[in-house]
Parts: sequence; C-alpha cells; structure tokens
Amino acid sequence: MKRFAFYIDTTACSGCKACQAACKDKNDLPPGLSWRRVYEVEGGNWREKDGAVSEKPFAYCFSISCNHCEDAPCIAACPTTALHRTDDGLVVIDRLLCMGCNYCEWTCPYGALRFDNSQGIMTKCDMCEDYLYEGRNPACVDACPMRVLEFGMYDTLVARYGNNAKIFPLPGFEMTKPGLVIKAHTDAAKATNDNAVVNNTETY
Amino acid sequence: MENFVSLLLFTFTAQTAIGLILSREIMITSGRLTMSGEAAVRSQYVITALLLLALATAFLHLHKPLHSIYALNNIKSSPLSMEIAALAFLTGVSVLAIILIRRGGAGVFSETILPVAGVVGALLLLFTMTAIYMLPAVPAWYRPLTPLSFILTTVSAGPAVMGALIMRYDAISGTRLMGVAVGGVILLAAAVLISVPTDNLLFIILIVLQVLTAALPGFLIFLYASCSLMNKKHHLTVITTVLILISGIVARLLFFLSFDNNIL
Repeated sequence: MKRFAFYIDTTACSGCKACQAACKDKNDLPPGLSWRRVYEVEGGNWREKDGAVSEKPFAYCFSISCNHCEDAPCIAACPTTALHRTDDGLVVIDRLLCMGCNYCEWTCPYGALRFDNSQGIMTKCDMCEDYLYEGRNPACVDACPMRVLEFGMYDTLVARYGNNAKIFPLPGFEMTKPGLVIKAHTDAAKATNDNAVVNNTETY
Repeated sequence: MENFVSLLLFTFTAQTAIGLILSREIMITSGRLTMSGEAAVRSQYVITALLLLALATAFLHLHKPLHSIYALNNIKSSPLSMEIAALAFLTGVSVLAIILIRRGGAGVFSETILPVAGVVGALLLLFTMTAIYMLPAVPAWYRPLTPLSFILTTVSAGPAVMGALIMRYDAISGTRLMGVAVGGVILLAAAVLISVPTDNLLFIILIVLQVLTAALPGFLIFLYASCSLMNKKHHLTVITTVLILISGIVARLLFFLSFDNNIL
C-alpha cells in the first residue's frame, strides 16, 4: 500500500502559520476549526548570581496535522467505520457515517480530529486528496515561505532525512506509526513536561 | 473536555445498574434474598430505568443521533461499538425481565437464563466501558486506577441502592450490603486522592467533597450498628445511599475533568 508522509524541519520553522492559513483557505474551514496547527514550545530557566540574572531560555515551533498513521487508533476506535483508509493509504472520514461521538478525538495523540460545529461531525486533514490526484502538493506544503514542510512517499523521506518522528510534546513513532518525519530543533531535547509549555493551543 | 456531563451521567447510571444487578444476583444465589421478593422485583424496575436513562443519554450525546444506526459497524475493534452492543443487550434483557414479572412468568427462562444473561451482559458492559477510556493518547486515564475507579463505582453505587431497597422492602437486614457499598466508596475516594492532580482549586474542592461524602456514610453505618440511631433506620438508609451516590458522581466528575489529550 502507498504511504504518504509529511516532513517538517523544526530548526527553520518560524511559526508564521502560513501553512495553517493555506489549509483553512483551501478547505474553506469555518472560524475555530483548523486541520493544520502551529504550536510554539518554550521553556528554560534562570539563575541569579552576585546580583546578576542570567537566563537560559529555549523555544521552537512546529506545524502538525493528521499524519495518516499506519496504526491509526482513530480507525480502530470509530464505531461506525466513518474513519477508514483509502487505497492510497490516506485516513479519511465518511461524513455520511460519522455520528459525532467525538471518540476518535480522544484517541489521537496529535489532535488531528477536529469537531465541526456547523456540520455536527468530525473532520480532519485529508492531505488535499484532490491535489494529490493532480500531482500537486498539499496546500500547506506549497504555502510555507521557509520551505520547512515537505511531502512525499514515507520511504523516500526517511531515506533522505531519517526516521525521527518525535519532538516534545509529540509521542514517538511506536505509538501510532505516523506518516511523519521531523528534523528536531536543537533545543527540543531540553523540553520536558516539567520545564516547557506549549503555546498557541487556541484554534482560529 | 466539552460536553462531558452527558458522559458522566451515562457512565454513572450504567455502573450503578451493573452494581445493582451483580449485588442482587449474589444475594439471590447465596440464598439471602428471594427472586420473587419485593426488594428483588423493585430492583429490576430501578435497573431498567437506569439502563433506559443511560441509553437515552448516550443517544442524546451524539451530534448526529440518526447516524447511530451504524454504531455497531466496527464491533470487532471499537470498544465503543462493543459498549453500545452490550448496553443494548443488557437493556433488552432488563425490559424482558420486567415484562415477565408483570405477566407472573416463572420457569427456567425467568429464573435461570435471564439472570445469567443479565450478569453476563452487566460484566460485558463494565469491561467495554473501561476499555473505552484506556487510551495511550490520554495519559491521565491510561493507568490501572481508571478500571479500578470504574469497578469501585460499580461496587459502591449498586450495592448502596440494593441495600436501601432491601432495608425498605424486605425483612432481612441490608447492613452488610450497605457496608460493602461504604467500603467501596471509601476505596474510591482513596483512588481519587492518589490519581487526581491537586494544583487546581476546583479539583481540591471536589476532592474534599468526595472524601467527606465517602467518609460520612461509614460514620452513619457505625451509629446505626451501635444502636444509637435504630429508630432512625429509614432516614439513615436514605442519607447513606444519597451520600454514596454523590461521592460516586463527584469521582466521575473529577475523572472527566482530568482529561488531557497530549496537550494538543
């Protein structure tokens, strides 16, 4: 089966949200609903010595949407089979089956499943499936001014960039086997639950 | 977590019904209660009402309730599908039991097959309900205290209501069953104390409320057993039962408020 994936270079992501805006525009998403989200992680500490204060902060941004995981927990959890995998390996929602129970939202560690109040059903990134059939990239990838987002076959991206899919606060590859490759920011290794916070968690 | 009140109501009423079924069947099997006795019969009405309320709450929780006809499509892998199936089965068994009670039914089907089906359905419902919440993506729920708290809610709320029915309508004493319920709710309060974060003022208030409503029934049962308040038996039973149910509801509330989905 085909396996598409996203690559993100968090060493260069500026957090501009152009990818988020492009996704909302392309999919005509209402206010409060975003399939691709950009978060900022910041943390660090400071110390005082001899009346002088020195800081050691860190910060980085990352963009995340649905990773169309190989072991997608949302597909296993969906009682109506509204969530299913296409022949192209994409995880999509059949809107005619979704009953809006929100259970899939709980199962996703990436927050990919988003409830659409106007329709009363769950929605999510579909990797711009219509663009894929035209040989184009998803809207978010082409919108990135820093060119930190890339799209392609998972094996190709892994061969080019390695197989790291973990960066705080995201889980490791083993949890759901996401179609995601990450170049981690140098500060990402310092971030833990105790010393870092995730900002910009509100949706637009 | 949005819209969790309906989930709270659903889980609590379903767990109370499960506890009622299991405690009643244990009492009947051990010979302490008769199947045709008033307490046992009335308990079936309470169980059916609780299950119908749970079913209605689950249905109304959905944003597209008409699509619920597809809810059993993924019974082989979705705990939610399995739970819906178990709930529908148990509710059907309970309604059938009511119909047979009203018709004065007796025989192997009423006295053996239906009760066994009820116990099996109750255990299945408890198991699937627990499986729904054991999610790796929700660290606050993905630990042994989650199934433990579900079991303790079942062991406290159900026996409390059954004990109250026995004390009200039967000649035997329901004190032991009430003691089981009190023990269950105290253990539940202990489980909550261990598991719920205490960096939030609302959580602290709810924890204090839950511990108080768990400890008071124990004190009341002691007063009752020591004959200090024998003439207030009925009032004590009602107060104890209400306190145990409140404690259980607060424990469920703390459970849903502790939801954290990997921050994202």
